[in-house]
Amino acid sequence: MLLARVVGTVVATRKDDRLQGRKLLVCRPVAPDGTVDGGYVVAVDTVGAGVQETVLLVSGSSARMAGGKDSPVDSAVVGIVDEVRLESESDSSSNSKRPAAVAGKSKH
Amino acid sequence: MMLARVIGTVVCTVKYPTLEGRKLLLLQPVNKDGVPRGKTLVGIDAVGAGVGETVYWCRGREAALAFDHEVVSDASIVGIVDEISVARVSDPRAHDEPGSPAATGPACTVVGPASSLAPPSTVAPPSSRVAREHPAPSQKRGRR
Repeated sequence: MLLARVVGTVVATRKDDRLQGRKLLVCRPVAPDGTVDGGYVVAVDTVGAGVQETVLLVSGSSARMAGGKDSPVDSAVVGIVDEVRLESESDSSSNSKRPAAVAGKSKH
Repeated sequence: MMLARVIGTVVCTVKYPTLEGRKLLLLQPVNKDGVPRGKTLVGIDAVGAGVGETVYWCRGREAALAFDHEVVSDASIVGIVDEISVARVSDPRAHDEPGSPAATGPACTVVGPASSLAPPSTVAPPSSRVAREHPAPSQKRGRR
């Protein structure tokens, strides 16, 4: 699973029937410190995530399970990240991580 | 399965129902020497690993097999590493092989222990035969 930031949404009128009613999010994988670390991924939302939130992205067959049985999905958002704690950080420096994660939460 | 070091934890209040109660750990993949290799990722803990430990993890479909069927996981921590032991190439001739880089692959690792018996003259013939047999296939492999 990857950490990712939701940067937008996708609207598709014509799509596979098994994707009907599913929210599609544009995500960018991020490093633990919140910096962008990869390209763009369109993922099915299963938890009600919104733009600017940090989320957990699962891919492959696990995403298919999350997206509904036998649905044509290879990437799904399965969690909204509240906090990332890094080992190397002391209590003081870990606060620098929290705003990024909590910022996403506060927009909820 | 791959090696990784647990470098942190991830907290999610809102998550997929089958992830309830699962520990999410931040993994930094490492090589056999513990040197970071690749991007960090989040894995689900199946063995009770903690921050700072070296673990091995699996990805893909198999990751979900570490749990119940319904757990959506594409990266699961399935073991805590106590010790890593890697055999070293001890035969200096392995580096002198005229073949491609493939010649320094696993075949040479096999040659190493055999040729270490070379000094006793009685053992020399079989060991040299072994040394000759192994580079041959690896050279063929290199040409392909």
